[in-house]
Amino acid sequence: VASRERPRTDRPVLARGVLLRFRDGDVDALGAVFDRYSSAVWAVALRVTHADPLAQEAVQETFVRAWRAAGSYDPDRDLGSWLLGIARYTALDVLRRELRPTRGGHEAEQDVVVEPPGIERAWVSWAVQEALRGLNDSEREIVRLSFYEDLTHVQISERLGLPVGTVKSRSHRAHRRLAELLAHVRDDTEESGPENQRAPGRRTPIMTDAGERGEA
Amino acid sequence: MNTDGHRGDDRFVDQLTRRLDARAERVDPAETGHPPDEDAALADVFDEVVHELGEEATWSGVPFGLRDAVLGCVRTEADAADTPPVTEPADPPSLAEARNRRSPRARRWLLAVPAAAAVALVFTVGVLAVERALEPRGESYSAAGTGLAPAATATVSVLPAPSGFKVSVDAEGLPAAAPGSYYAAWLQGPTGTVPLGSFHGRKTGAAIALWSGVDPAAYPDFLVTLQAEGDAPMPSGQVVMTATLRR
Repeated sequence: VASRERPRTDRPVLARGVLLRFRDGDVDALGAVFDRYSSAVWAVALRVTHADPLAQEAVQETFVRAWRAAGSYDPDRDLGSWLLGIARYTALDVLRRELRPTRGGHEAEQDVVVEPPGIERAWVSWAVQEALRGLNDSEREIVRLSFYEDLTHVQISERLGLPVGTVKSRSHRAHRRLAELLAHVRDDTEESGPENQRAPGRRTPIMTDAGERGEA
Repeated sequence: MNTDGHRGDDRFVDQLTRRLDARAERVDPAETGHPPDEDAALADVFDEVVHELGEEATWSGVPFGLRDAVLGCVRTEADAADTPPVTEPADPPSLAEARNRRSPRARRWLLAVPAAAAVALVFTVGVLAVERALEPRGESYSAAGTGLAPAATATVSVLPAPSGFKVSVDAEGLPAAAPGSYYAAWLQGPTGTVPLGSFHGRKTGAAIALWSGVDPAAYPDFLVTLQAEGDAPMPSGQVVMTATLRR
């Protein structure tokens, strides 16, 4: 296998000054944290709650909880992992709250059991969301058209007005880049052991910014 | 990472790339001529990655207005934490959970207070009382239920804030939205319709907090609609409450 430049996965995305201000409760720093991580938190919240209104509630509560707990955050640790933990349990809390007896009396009194797959898959949702941030716009669009809209290469070429060959080559390049950016999942899987392979990651998967993204 | 780790990463990247290529080309991975994935656990991970790439949650993006809602909530709490304490009695702290964290500055201030639990409790209750007493109310308007919710009434308060307009709805008589449905609030004016947020109304005791990024003076018609989950993000036509935000 030819050597390649490995994705940089250990460079802070947010400036240390922002992290320090976030730890100190600065609201503007929380805004920067929201801008950086809200997509991933949103994906996790939707994965766990399966409902847009609940996911909105979970996202809002996640960031409010994070701000409240920011004093305990160590700026030397990865903020993404710290935030992912809050997001997972906050989404679970919101779901449990929703399933409790309500004013409308829709559900009977019961212990709420949340299906494990939702919470376990949250980690993969987070990792994929972060990896997609590492693609440039044209790569990400081709992946979206292919996997989400379920279009063939021919259909994508018609949609984008590109030769099929170009679509194929960009598609392959996007897939390889995505795989590189997800390589840490292998480490996390191995370290967690096969019986616990979907445990939450210990670090934010991808660290990228616009300056690192190559253009197609 | 050691050399073995690099090799493992390379193998992982090659296998996942093949899996993604095969999915995009509608080819069974077994028919690509490459050896199958060596590790069943990784094969499961690859399946999950492919699944996630096809999920709406992966691509839907964060709803508009959520950022302002988060920062608005936190700013309100930060402001409250900076309010000097008093010891007058207060209503039961229905917002207690939302107020149980103070900013670092407030935490330092708290440490200066005698540590007795009773004093701390009185302090906390007092902060809540002052917070409520001093909270700006803005302009208030009356909303009335339509034929779909004839018993519903509400006081709609509009408060300018740095990030937009905070719209609080203190509703009574509005039935809880059934599972699978929810309420959405909107502002309408000559230039269009703007969403304020959604709620289900299944718990009482607190005003519904909504946010507007446009000046309600230019969008004076306030309405609440009943929406079904999965519907398009626009007013459903099932209007349950209306108000005119104009003096």
